[in-house]
Amino acid sequence: MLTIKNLSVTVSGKEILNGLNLEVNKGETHAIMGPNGSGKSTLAYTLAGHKECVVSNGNILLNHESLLDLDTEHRAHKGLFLAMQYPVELPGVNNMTFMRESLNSIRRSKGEKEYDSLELINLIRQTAKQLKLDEKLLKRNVNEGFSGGEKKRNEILQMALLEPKLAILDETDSGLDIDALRIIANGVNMLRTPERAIILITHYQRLLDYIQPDYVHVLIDGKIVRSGDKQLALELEDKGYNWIVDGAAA
Amino acid sequence: MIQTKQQQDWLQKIITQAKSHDINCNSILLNKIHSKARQAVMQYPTLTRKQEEWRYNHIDKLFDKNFKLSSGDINLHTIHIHHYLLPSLDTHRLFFVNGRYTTQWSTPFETHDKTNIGCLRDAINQEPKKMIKSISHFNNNELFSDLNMALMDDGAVIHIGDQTKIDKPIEIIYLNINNLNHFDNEINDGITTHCRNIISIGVGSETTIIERFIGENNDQYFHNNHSNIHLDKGAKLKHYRVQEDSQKAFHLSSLSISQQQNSHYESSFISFDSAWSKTNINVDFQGENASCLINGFCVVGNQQITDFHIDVQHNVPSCVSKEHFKSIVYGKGRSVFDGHILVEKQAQHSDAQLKNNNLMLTQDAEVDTKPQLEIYANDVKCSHGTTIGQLDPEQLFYMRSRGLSNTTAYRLLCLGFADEIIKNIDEKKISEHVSKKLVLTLDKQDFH
Ligand SMILES: Nc1ncnc2c1ncn2[C@@H]1O[C@H](COP(=O)(O)OP(=O)(O)O)[C@@H](O)[C@H]1O
Ligand SMILES: [Mg+2]
Repeated sequence: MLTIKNLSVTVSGKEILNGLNLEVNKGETHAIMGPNGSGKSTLAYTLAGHKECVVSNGNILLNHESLLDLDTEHRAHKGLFLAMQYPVELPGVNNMTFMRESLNSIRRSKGEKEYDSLELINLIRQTAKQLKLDEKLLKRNVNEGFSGGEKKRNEILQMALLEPKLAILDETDSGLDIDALRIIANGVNMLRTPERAIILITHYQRLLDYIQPDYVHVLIDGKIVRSGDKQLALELEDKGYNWIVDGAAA
Repeated sequence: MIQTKQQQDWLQKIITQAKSHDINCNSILLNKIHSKARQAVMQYPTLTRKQEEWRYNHIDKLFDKNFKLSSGDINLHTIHIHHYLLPSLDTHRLFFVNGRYTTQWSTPFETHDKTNIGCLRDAINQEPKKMIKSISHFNNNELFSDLNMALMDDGAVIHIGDQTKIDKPIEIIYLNINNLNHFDNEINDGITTHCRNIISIGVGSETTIIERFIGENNDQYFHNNHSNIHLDKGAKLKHYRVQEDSQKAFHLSSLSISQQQNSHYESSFISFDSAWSKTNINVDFQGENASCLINGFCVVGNQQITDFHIDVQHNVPSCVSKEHFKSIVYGKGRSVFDGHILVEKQAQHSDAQLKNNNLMLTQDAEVDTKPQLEIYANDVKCSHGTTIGQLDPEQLFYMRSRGLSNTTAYRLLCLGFADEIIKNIDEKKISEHVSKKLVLTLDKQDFH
């Protein structure tokens, strides 16, 4: 589904990713771990087409089609979704309106019929309920005044509604207490289907107790330096990143 | 010198036309007022870009044009009225075409002894002495107010008696269209029309007034509108004003608002379109515990200039004034805001707040804002704040990552920005109309 080939990315003239390779097939869940500043969010932003992330080399293919020439919204139309590490507040933009616009624009792009508003309200309410997201938040402005956990749940709600082919979750677990983590993990697990691929970005292995990945990759200094299965995450937890850095240097 | 001559010639030309129209006017008293104002107009010093008032909104743009005074002798047959009315907005309507009241599209009122809603021409005919007396009291102090007085032959007259509540909003529509007048084939730059409105709300009375300014898409004209508004003790007026003139219009409005004790004036000034637009709002507190809440929102696009000047005078203690104006500017549009609040020494316990927020959608847009507080009393609560910003690229990225097009993202963020003002419009039909108009205006643009 996703093929990243020899990807190099610069941000403000500084090379952040250099020669990154990754292959993700449908139905798989991959975890990407790495210390702070190693380029995890940069990778996520690059996949979503953020203009600050300039691809200087390599390619990104989603279902054999290069994403590099596509604008951010067109990548979303192709089924890519990014749950952000720091979800943005949108003052004056009603959450429900935002979700309706977003869902309908994606349906339109696929040539599907737009939801009528009653259908949509019911769908959104129902999904919010599963994620234990207070219904009042649907009537508020997007993320405005939401707590950290509410913002993250709002991201997962959008992900559930948009039904992406490839979902990237950037540090969705950070700042959550254990109950919130469980709810979010449940939400994500419900979305694991044979047709969908998920990339979990995290720097704690804690999340992986609740969402079991098929593969674990370690990103250091803009490169994937080690890949393995779930066992790798446990080893990392135990020995820290230095173990790999030292190992890689040796 | 050239400017002086240009101004004098421009004024003289319009006044000469007015004199030829006056043949139809049989009110000696009105003629007197006209001729006094016509003399006054010629005495004003030359307006130039060097004056603060005209520094950003250049007056020569107006004086460069050769406008022809509309005579009121107009042909209404070609007008498709339903283009201009808001469906299912239930109001008492006063409809002006090219500055002249038209009975045809106005909806009649129950006029009783204390309350009179109609047009200036009728009011002068019915009660000449009383009307002329109240008109001659107005202190114009400004070239275009005097010009308005010098040329006025119609306008809205709304007189609400004491302790009266009007069942529906009063709506005033000003439609300006070229080619309705039977002019000789003289070349000109469009018509000019002048309306004078006289509004007074009696003791303890409550009213809503909606004003809408409409023009034909490509017409160029100059509309000069002047309102004198008086709120008696405990009176409440809600005032919604929507300017949707033609793209090429020149629009000048002046409002002098005086407020007695415990009165409350609440308004929203919404402005779209027009090439050149200037609105002067003057509030004069004359009795204690009066309050005004003045909101404004304008969208200023390419080749447009929109200018709001607000002057609030706290002359007496314990009055509250709150102004909040917002603008969205794009292309080479220019938005000018000048807010001045004066708190006199005796006006203790005044509460005065002034806010101006501007959103620039393009690099070439320009905002000139000047909030000023002039405070001579020591026990007051006063504040002002101004912001000029752009849409946050991170917000746009977030929205686009959810599949929204750039245009939709702009639209939602701009609506969000405007919402703070639009939501204060209590007439739902009007607030919906304004939001819709904003969406239409933005969706026509290509933001990238
Ligand atoms: N806008 C930016 N301008 C310059 N450098 C940036 C910017 N954003 C991130 N960086 C740098 O890029 C590197 C990787 O950051 P990031 O991708 O956020 O790491 P991670 O998500 O793994 O913590 C860091 O060194 C960070 O300082
Ligand atoms: Mg990060």
